Amino acid sequence: MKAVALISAVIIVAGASQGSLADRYNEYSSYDRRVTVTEFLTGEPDDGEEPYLEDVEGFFSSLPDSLSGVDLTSDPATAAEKYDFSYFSGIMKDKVRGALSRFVYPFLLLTVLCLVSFLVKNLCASGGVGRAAATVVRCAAALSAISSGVVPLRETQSFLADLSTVTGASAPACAALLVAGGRVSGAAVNATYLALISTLIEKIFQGVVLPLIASSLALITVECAYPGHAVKLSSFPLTVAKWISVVTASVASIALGAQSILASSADTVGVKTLKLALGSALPLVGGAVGDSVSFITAGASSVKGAFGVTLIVIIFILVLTPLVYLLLGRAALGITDAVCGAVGEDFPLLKSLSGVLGALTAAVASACAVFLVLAVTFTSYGALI
Amino acid sequence: MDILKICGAAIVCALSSSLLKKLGAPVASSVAVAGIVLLLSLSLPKIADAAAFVKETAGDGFEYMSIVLKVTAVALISEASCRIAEASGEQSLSSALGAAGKIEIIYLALPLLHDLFDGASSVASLSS
Repeated sequence: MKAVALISAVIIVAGASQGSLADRYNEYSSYDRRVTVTEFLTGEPDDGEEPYLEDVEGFFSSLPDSLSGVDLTSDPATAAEKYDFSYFSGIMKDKVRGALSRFVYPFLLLTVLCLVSFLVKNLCASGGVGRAAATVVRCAAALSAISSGVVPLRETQSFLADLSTVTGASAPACAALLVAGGRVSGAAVNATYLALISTLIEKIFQGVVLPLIASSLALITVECAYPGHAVKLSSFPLTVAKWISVVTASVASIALGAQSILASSADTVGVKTLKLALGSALPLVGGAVGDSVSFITAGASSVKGAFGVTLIVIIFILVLTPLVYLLLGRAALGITDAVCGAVGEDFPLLKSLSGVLGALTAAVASACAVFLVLAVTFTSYGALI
Repeated sequence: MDILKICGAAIVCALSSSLLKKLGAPVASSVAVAGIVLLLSLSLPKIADAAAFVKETAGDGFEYMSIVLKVTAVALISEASCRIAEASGEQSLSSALGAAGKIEIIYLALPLLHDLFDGASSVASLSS
């Protein structure tokens, strides 16, 4: 009983001091701080840096290099104005333009080599000389595909590394913001799943899925020199990689959703019980204390919301680079296949490369989906009372 | 139009060769050979233009394009030579020419094949 009374007293005093601070500065709409220990003890505003704002600043300073030129903010007052349609369309335009300028040459080269292979095979139709020459030209096409970046393996690798960095960097800020908003169980779930996502990216996507796709690409390259012998070998790793990506993302997202709902309920029940207890125990000032607690959690929630939106924006920017490459690559391979099909020649190389891009798309989308679900869940936690 | 010249020359050669064969003239095969050489020489500028276009399209970004063009040229020359040998009734010579052509193609493609397997192994070890 003594312990309960002590904890209640601490919370009441803390709530009262935060309430008075909030009332003093009248910053409900842009409240972005929680009471420090000094403020708690003295009741006076502390000019020192706030703990969770330090964590948020730490997050922005540890972002990967690929986000260095991007304009980001976690200020609730400016986030809504900054992240408008023109912001996203501008980023998308830049990415698509960059991908298009990179894609023209490799796919033109691939188309030319496929057509040369077709011509050689058909002009030298009588013997094996034509077939030998066509095989060499197909090998050249495969070599051009892997050397000129038709398959963006390195971009996907960089994306996963960047996503892992963002996951690690966001953990302290997410936990601090959730705790500041009274979401203790939510913070525990969030921290657990951030660690899980980091492990998934490193162990599953970077450690299993990408090597499987890379080995499939290697087999596709080699099968150009031995046409018809390695086709089933190259498609098997791709199928496995796609299944691993999809199953991993599904299981992690379902578990995260369930855990977040349960944690949110637990936090809400806990804080409402506390508020009821405060209100009942302190007949005169209990209501005011409860309101000040509500105010503080709402202020922290507003910062948390802006930070969560920033996380979503970061995921959007990070995933856009590999995704645009992959989707444009598939489209370009489809066009190349159609051009070659128009002259009556079927190139298994083009279909195999398209399959590799499909598996990479599945891996990127799955890795992104898990982190996106986490960011959306984090953002959607509202004020508790 | 060059195609009219090519088709005209081909028809004349085919008819002459056929007529001479029926008459039992020994020069019938020589006429056929001459016809093949004539047709190839008429097509040669077009092939050269196509090769120049392919090389220009590839630019300096693809170092193996010269190998591709050499292999294509060897294949076309070997094929034409095989046809000439067949027209002359020299089947064994035609087979030997075909084999020589394949050997030449493989020899020319060796750096490309080396780099292909090298590239495949580097791709396979990319994520490890």
